[in-house]
Amino acid sequence: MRWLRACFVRLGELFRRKRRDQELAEEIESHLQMHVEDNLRAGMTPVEARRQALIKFGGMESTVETYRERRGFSFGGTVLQDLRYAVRMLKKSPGFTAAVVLSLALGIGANTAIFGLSDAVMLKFLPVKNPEQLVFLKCTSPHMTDYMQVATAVGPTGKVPGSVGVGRVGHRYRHPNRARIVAADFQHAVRA
Amino acid sequence: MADIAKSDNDKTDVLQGTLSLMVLTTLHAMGPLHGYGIARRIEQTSGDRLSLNYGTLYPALLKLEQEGYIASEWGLSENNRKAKYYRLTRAGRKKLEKETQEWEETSAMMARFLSPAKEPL
Repeated sequence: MRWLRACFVRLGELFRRKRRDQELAEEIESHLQMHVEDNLRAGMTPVEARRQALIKFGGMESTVETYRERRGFSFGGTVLQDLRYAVRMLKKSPGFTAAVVLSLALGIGANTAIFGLSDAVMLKFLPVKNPEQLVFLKCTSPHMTDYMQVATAVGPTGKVPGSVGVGRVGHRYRHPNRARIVAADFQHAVRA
Repeated sequence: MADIAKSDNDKTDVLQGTLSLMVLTTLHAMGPLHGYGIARRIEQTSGDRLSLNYGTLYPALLKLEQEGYIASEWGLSENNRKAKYYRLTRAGRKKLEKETQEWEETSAMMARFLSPAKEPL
């Protein structure tokens, strides 16, 4: 998991580029100073000591460039490399991959299903105008005329569209004997 | 031409792989040390047969640090100069053990290949 750790560290580096650049410059400068001191002790002139230290260090620009590339992500090259590496590692241990993929799939799937259901049942309103004014009427009277009366009593106000659930009490679910009695101005009131 | 270029690449590849092991060994032997000290020590240990551009050390140090094998902090050098000191972590010690063993196995195997006359066939 070392590569994963390195990935996280490098992601973090994206946010403190400037400070880290300065730190590298300081580190290189301290390196050169120490080398110069050694060269001076060996009897070089100050100019020659600095020159030799720089030569021994090698290409400054390419070093800094390589360092920067290694530090963060130069998008394109290394990100793709790391992705490929990730895929290779996953391929190498199919059992682990299967377990991860399966648990992710189950987790996401179950969450989506449950949220979808509760969203439809509890959160979303019916796609009508002023859905908060809709009323659900339940009537326990066995006489059809009673329903009609309820509907007509409610309908003309224009506020309640007169949707009536019909069913015998206690048998509602076994006999989904539902009907809709709507007032004449149903469409107008709901404007679905 | 192509062959020469290829062998050149192989050489740097081996060098890069071995460089990090050399760094770990050096830190193990010397304790916390700054980049310049590590570079000088590596050259000395190799009997000055290894010519190292000191600059190449820093990306290698960074990689080892990112992987958690070494840790760094700023301190003061012998001459009271500010310097970044690297030290081996516990993971680094383990890595060093493992890599050393692997190298010994590889070089022992290569030695057997290169001197086949000694082994009765």
